[in-house]
Amino acid sequence: MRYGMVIDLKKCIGCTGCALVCKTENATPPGILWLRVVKQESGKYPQVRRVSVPLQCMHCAEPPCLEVCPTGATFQHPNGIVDIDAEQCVGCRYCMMACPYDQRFFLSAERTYFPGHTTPFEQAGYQRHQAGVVSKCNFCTPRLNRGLEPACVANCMSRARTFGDLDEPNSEVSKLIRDRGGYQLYPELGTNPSIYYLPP
Amino acid sequence: MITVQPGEAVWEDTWIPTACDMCYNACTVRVRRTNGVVVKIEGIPDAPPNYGKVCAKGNAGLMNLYNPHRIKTPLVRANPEKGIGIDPRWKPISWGEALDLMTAKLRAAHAKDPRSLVAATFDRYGHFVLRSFLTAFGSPNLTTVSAGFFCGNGVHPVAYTLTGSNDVHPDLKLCNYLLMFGTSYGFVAQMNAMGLTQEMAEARRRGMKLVVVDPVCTYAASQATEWVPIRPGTDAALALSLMDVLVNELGLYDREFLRRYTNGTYLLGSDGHYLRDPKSQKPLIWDARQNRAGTFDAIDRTDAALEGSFQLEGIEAKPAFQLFKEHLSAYTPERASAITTIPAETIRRVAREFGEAAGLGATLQLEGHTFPYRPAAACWYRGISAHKHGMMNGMSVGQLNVIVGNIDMPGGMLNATAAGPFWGPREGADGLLVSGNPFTYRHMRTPIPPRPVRRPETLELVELFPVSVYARAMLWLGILHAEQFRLPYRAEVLIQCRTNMMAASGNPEIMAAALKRIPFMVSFADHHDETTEFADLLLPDTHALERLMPITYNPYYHYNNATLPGEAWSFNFQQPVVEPMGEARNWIEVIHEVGGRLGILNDLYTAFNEIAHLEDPYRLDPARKYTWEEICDRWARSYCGDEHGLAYFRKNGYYKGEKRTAAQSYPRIFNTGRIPLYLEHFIGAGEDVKRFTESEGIPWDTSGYVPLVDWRPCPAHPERASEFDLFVVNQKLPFLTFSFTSENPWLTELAERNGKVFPVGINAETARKKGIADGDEIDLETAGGRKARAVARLSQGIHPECLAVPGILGRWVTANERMKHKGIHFNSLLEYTLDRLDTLSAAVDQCVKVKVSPVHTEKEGGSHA
Repeated sequence: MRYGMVIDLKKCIGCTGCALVCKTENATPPGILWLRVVKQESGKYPQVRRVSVPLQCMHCAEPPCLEVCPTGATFQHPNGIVDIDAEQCVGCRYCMMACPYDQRFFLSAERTYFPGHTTPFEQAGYQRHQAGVVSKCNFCTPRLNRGLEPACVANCMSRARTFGDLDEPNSEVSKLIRDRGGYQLYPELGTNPSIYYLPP
Repeated sequence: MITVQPGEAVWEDTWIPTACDMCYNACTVRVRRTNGVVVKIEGIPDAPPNYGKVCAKGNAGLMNLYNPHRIKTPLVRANPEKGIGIDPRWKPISWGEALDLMTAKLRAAHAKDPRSLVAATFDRYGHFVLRSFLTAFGSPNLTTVSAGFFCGNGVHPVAYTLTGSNDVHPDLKLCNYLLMFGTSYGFVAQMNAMGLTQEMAEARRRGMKLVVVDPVCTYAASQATEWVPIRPGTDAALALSLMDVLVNELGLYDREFLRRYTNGTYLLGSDGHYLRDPKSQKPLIWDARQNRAGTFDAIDRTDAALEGSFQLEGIEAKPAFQLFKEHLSAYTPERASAITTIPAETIRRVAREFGEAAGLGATLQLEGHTFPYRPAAACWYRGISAHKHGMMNGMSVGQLNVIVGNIDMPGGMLNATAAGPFWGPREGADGLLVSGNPFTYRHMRTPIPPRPVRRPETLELVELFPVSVYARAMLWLGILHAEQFRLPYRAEVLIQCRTNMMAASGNPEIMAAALKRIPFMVSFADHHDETTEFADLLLPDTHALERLMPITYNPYYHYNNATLPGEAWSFNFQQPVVEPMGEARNWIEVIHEVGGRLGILNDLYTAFNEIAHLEDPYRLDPARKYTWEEICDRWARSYCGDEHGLAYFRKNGYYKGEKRTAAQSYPRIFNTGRIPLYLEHFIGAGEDVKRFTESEGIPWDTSGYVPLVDWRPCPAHPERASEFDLFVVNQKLPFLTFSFTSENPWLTELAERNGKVFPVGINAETARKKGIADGDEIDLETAGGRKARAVARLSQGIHPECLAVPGILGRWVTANERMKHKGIHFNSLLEYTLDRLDTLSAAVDQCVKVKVSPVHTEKEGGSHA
């Protein structure tokens, strides 16, 4: 069992709905986006290509962030999800230096979206985040526990995202990777990410 | 306000179905409320139109709800001086005092002239009531949106002409080749944003070719099979040239469709008018089998001559299509290439691909009917509509569809609202297709038959636009030029809600001048913006999650709630999820209360029965008084059946009815009314306008009333050789549309992280020639002396003659400091004068050129010089 995600760059339109649904689902504080979408431009006018690439924690099978964590706060679930135990995190941020995908975020101080005011949503949601620790995407583990897909997958309006078990050869994700030439980011680093992209 | 304390036990965790209000598409959502707090907004997988998906704006809606800067009490202006940047010096007052003041001002206006009341809203659900209020009051001056300056002017009249419906959309379920002109249809923009984004993704997955014609490699163009960059405002030249290749070079056009379903067979005399039967006055066609002329309704359509020249009692007569075909030959790809900058070989190739994809001759069996199957379509929107000749631009792309016979056929361009269980188009005078939709009443007027020109009574002067659907952009010019148009009264009171006209409509300087002419302005709003800055009375409106609003998704009426082929006719409701913040009240309920105070509720109910199209036994009894809940209940049961009233919607949020049948989806073969490919009715309409405006001494351009569409340059085009050498063009952003979305800090964060929102895009090679590097500050200046300052972003994805200015940015009144003066406010660069309006469609020309120079001095503050 190893949870993974396939993101079809042919389908992704770069709308950033996933970035926002991640924000509401996980109530991440200001300045922290566990998921964002970058645009890449290539070619020369008029033969130009612009591709939207969503980025989030890659949930590597060989996570460099875990290796460097001095307290064991970063750990790997048996289902492959790389997670952080906030109670054990001392905020040293070695993991942020080690992550080649720049997908770990440090909350330096408690802040709110409207300066000087905490909305009821934030009062409720920020209980999940504490200052001085590192956080990141956890594939919406609380949703998985309720039998739901990660929020970014469930809400993707162009259905560019597929979630499933990479170890199961007949799963939708495994089939897509096989049939459509799915690839990982920076495979040469040996991190073996659990997020695969399908070519645009 | 309820707040959740850390560690507090969960005493409530519930999901409430309602409808989103972060744009105008009314997606069905459910809202999770935990211990009284909204913690999540998401879609409902089975619920149309968005089927479980919500865009970034919709997800972010709760941060607008909880914005601490919302207006919480009624406010009255203490500063008599009004203007951009002038502090109104708001003073809080009670609701009682506020409504006393509003009622007194309305009474005084009514005594002067009831028509002196003007109302403007973009609350598409609230406007049914607002319109009823105005009708009861006696004023025709309702403008339903602050848009209608740029967007649908060159779309809706064309859609009515082609299908009898107020909009058209491509059949993404079956289309194999889609040409898009100046729109991001299916990319989280435009109508049914969520549903069509899913359809578009699926269409692309199954291999539909998407060709996007746009000066900028937009979100849509980025994902297209091919991006065809074009010089702004020249799309009609391309469309006409594509037709020239199809008709005159390749012979790829649907003769059968043209014979059966258009006026292409109607015989024309040398004056361009139909030749008519002397007795019946019916247009004549040529019977090619019997070699004689007869009235259009007396000859089998398949026998009618489409081409050629015939002698009719000594007069040379040609079928309209013959003239159409000859007219096209002026648009060779070589000529179009010089106009559009698109290589001639690309035009020829795209024309061939489009024509071949249309599969002329193919048929499809659906639900027992045999339909012509035409899986190629060309759609268009604001990008080509917002020009000096917006009507012609839209019509040219509309006609490209007619040529391949795809109108209301599987795979082609379909009507959005015309054919449903309740009404469909009819056959009108001269055998032409006429809308049968009763909801067009006073909102969108129908262009066929043209309306007689008469002395303007409305401030938007719609009486001078016989073939438009509205003339909203004229409203403010009508206020400013009331003497010139001899309007018999002046605007006295403006009621305005949920529309930021100052930011979203014409040039703000001119808008401000018009607003200042109106002695008393009431705004309902939940936040301060560029428009409320001009209000005399500012009343706190509810957020959508705090109000009851029925039939928000309304496929019978709203073109962007189009029901797709084979899908269910469905409806949804907004209902309160939390209590209103502060003293906020649902503005529609306040309008009812003011109607009661004025003693016009009975007339309001009578008007509402017609405007909302209520049927017995749910019509309102003018002798009674109803609560808002009772009205919502009757409205819902009238549309959705007795079982599906307010209680049903409170529980379920949405109602799914019968599926749209194949005959409703593809009604062309069942309609007898014909599409006027040749716009003979324009000739008389133009003569009518000319006669009136000349007699009144009103300078008015009537040269566009011609039966055959041309490409005509915008005023900006001849500026080519001067130092004003770059067009500014505006693109939609999927996460920031409508100015109020920039009040939202989550969306602000996305915009800041995006990196491509606030800078102005410039073609990398153009920038190099001008000595501009990525990240440089640049000054923009129009020939009219309008200026802006921005950061340059170099890109290969922009036409070399263009600057890309996205979204509705450069906000100057917002509580969100992070958005204030960020980016460029596009409309501030535009001229908004009579000579920049399309006198056929009332579109405002957005074609404007600027000169660009790098900033050499130290930075001098804000983005607007």
